[in-house]
Amino acid sequence: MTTLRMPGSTRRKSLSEIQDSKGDRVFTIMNYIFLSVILVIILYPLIYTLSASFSSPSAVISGKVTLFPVDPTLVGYQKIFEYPTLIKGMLNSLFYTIVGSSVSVVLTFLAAYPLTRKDLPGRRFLTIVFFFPMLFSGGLIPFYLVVRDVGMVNTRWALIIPTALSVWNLIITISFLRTSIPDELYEAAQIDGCSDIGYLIKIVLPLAKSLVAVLFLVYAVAQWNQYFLSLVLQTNPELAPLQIVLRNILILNKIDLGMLANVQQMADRQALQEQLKFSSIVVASVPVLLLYPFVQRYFVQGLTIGAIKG
Amino acid sequence: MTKKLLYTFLFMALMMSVMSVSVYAQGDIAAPAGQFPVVTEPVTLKILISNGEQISDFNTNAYTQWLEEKTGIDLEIEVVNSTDAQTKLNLVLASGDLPDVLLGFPATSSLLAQQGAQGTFVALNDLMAKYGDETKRVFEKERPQLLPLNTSPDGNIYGLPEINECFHCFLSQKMWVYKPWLDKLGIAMPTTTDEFEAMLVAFKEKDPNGNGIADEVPFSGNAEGSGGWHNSVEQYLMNSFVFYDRIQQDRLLLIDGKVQAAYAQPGYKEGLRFLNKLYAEGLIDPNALIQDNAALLQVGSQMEPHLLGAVSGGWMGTYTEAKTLAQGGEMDNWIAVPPLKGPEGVQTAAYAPWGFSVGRFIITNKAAHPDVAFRLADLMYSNEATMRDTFGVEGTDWIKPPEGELGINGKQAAYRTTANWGEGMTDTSWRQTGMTYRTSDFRLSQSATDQFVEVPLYVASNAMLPFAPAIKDLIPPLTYGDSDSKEVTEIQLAVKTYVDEMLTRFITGDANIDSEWDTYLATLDSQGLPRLLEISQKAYEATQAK
Amino acid sequence: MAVTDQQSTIDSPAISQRRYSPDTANSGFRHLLMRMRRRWQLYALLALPLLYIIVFSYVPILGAQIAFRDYTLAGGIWNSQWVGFANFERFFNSFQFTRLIVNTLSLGLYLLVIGFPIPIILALSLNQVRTLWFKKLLQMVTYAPHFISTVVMVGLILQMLNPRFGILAQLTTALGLPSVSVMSKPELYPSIYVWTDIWQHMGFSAIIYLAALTTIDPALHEAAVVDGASKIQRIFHIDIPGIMPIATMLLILNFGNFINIGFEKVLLLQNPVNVSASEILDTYVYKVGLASPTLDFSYATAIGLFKGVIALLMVVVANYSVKRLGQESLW
Repeated sequence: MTTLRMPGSTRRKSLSEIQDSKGDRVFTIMNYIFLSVILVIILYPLIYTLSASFSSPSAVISGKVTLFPVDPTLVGYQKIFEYPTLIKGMLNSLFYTIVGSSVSVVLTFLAAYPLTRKDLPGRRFLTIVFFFPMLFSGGLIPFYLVVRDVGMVNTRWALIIPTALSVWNLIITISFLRTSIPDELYEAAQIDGCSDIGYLIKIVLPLAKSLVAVLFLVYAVAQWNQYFLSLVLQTNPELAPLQIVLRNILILNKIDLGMLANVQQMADRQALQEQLKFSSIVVASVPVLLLYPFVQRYFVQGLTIGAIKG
Repeated sequence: MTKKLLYTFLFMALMMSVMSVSVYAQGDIAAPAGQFPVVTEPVTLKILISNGEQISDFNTNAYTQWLEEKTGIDLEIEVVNSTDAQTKLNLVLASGDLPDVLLGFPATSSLLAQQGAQGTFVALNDLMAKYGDETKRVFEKERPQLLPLNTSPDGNIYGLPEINECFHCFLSQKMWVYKPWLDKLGIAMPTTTDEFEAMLVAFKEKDPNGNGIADEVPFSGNAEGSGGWHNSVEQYLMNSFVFYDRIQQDRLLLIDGKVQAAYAQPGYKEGLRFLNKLYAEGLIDPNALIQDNAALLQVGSQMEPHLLGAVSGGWMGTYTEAKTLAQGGEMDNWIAVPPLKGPEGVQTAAYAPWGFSVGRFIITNKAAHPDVAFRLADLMYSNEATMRDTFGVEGTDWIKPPEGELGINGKQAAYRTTANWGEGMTDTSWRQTGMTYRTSDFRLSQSATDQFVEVPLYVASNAMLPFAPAIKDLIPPLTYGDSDSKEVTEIQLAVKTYVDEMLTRFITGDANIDSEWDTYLATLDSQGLPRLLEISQKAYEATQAK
Repeated sequence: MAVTDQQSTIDSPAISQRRYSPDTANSGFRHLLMRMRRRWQLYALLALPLLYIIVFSYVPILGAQIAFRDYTLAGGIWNSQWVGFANFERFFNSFQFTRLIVNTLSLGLYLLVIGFPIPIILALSLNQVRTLWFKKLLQMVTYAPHFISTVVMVGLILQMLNPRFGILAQLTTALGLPSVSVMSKPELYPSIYVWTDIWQHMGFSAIIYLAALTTIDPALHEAAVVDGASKIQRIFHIDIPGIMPIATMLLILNFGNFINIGFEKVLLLQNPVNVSASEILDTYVYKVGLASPTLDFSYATAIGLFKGVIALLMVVVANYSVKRLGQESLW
């Protein structure tokens, strides 16, 4: 590897060592102001959601919560963890997210890497073969019938395999690999006697760490939020992911107008629903939010290319 | 030797296949009507049930176990939440991955006819004749009028209805006013549209909440289709101009035996004029036409100061937070306005006294023993099953009230629920999921103790009943043929979207009632309204021929 | 890998010609076969994804023929009654058709024009931040709203725009302005939809650009600094060209996808006043398809195919334009 030197590389010199010019300082200040404005605008709904989840339901219904919690309470969280299905749903979702995203990332790379190679005969045709299903699909019923015929309906595999490869992510991966990995590297590797698979493992993957991280994140988020696929392909409650469980909990507390109960009970249920609405978002989002810092580690500029240099 | 063995084996295999064929050819293994258990050998029924979010586990639920013990059938239950029931139903019907029984799904009579004709749903007529016990009581003695309404055009019954005669739901397009304001301003309950208008003016101008600011909202509601229950502003008031039913028929009505659309009648135009006048005078909350139910609840739940004077809605909980209602007699502060007399003397109330939902128990062609499945359905109509399904176990979930305790209708109460009923999750009842038989008398014999919402609703509905049309002048629930049904669905979607949009624009004055009325009628025509009426007329005449 | 193989793995036309030519008339074909054989490892890698896409995408696409049939359970995909273009004609003749197309295309285009550049700007801007905690906080915060469910998000939007209690009303009253009922103006509907969408998803969409920015060789920046380039100059001459290929590709993908707006949020923000602007193809398909009480999958599939054709046209045009501009294209 030591022979691989990037073209145009000079002596490393930290950018922060260089004194900013006056224009640059103005730009930096403007940039910070711009980002601070965005921060405030986006922070608001987040704080609202968080505050509402800790507020009394009455305050939420009558619109008293604007920024900070009103009549703070933890009932929303207490109640949501009282549902026996919640933990099971979380564990299921964790499984789907980890296994499903891993399968997806592997499958995406298996398809993307060959399609970045200009010396692959039929590359253009194969790219179109992979791209076409993004535009056309058979719709729900034909899809369901295929999944059933391969025996995956009502199994864990139903959420992992049938939608494992996203064409969108595949195209992004191809494009990313093409731009971030120079052709010179490939030529050098060939001279070093590296096979096609060896090149993928030894050169491409280490160089594309940030991409792997992003892909995993994108797939993981999609898996974690998966709802419709489970509705369509699974009926066994043992397999239900978190989003299905949360939806059931929220529907459960809707008031049935055809059969009105005692007002007191109804009040309890209405209040509970309002509170669960917000606490459930917090409960459902925290795990994926925690994932982000792990991905963030790979977003340091120049990390990937610098790593294999000299 | 080996050859002989082979022959013997083949012969036995042949015999067994013949025997098993004969068993299935007979099909019937259920005990005769009224005898329990239904089966002595183990039979498994796969049931897909919708709307079971409040049940912790169907398969261990007390009602399920009671059903299993009583009938000897092994029930295997899978659940779909109520919000996605329609999607799931469409999916299982299109893919063919059907259970033996579909329980509690939102089927339509058109769907029953369609799937029945294709052979997906089993016709129940013969089964009812042979095994019917409770079903005969219901459809032959107590509710014979329901039988034709649940029969497909080909004469077959492809699903049994859930029967739940909710009296106040029959008359749910109600108007509520805040009594303390009437008392404070010394206004009598309005009886005409003019008096109603005068009342709103007083609400607006005379500061009934007494805070010195003109912040009162005289009259509000929310947009139809954005939550709530009959909260759009025109639902009640339009009935002082034309019969206007949004409970069952989406505004179709009978005029001289012909099906017509209320929103194309001259009376409707006059009603719009009245609403437009109220709007122009600032008496209708401008938000009422576009806001969702959550926003209406916010207005209605404001207590210091109180903001809301009058509001359309099926009951108080649709515009005031239930917690507010439960405190300090606030619920009694809201009283329903009896139907108002319009300028032309029209004074009617939307009325839909049907009380059933079609196709709640469907036996599919996957069922190996339709007779067994039918006997299960039959049992569900019994009073005991209905009590166990709706309320749960006697003694823990509900009790028989002492002599002298009155029900909602003012007569001796038959049952009173305990604190157990109505909480988050249950394992003792099905919380009215599935199929039950609850007549109006049954429902009204529930004890009236505590702050029971049903009592004021009963009183309010009784005050409206004298103004409702006779049942023979109403359009019953209709069944469309397969191709008609698709056409109707699409026309209804276009017409409904357009009518609701124009309703709002006419009321706000964005569209001029006089100059744009003809264009409005012409657009309805081009959207296929005449065809919709024609198909509905055909379907209506079919119900009259039976 | 054996040393002798090394030379042959280099795909140089000069070497291949020396070895395999001159030959007979079908030398071109044999040459192709030879090239394919040399890349067998790549095909081996592709085998699994190809199998996957054939089973789970192409086999179901065969099922799209139900758009030309009157699908029933008994008939299934292959034997339901053939009705030709009847489902398409019904759609083209439906009263809503023009309105649906106009609304869908204008909303989609609006979303594309605004929604495409903003995550790029955010990423470029974030990339300039040197205060690490601020950068991390910003990334985290902009990414988080992506997880708020549509139902709650819409509830939040309506709450904030509520002309009596909303934060907008409080702001306008504080400034002495009359309160506006934003939701009752059909002409504002697309803006509300698009900007709240950006608000919710820009941070998540920026991630891919942030990742792309990490692959730019720091040496380029160092050299530019030595040459006295300002930050803005470096953004325009190094950062933007660096993420351009990804951005172009995303643009093409967005063109293929912009007809799929997603019904849920559009539907939830609908009210009788703005429906003239808010009824789009996806909400319509939802209403006549999945949520309809009559079973009509053929009709929904037909509309889906129609959307596919429009998307294909969009992609072909986008791809062609990109090619003309000299950028790397999809094919």
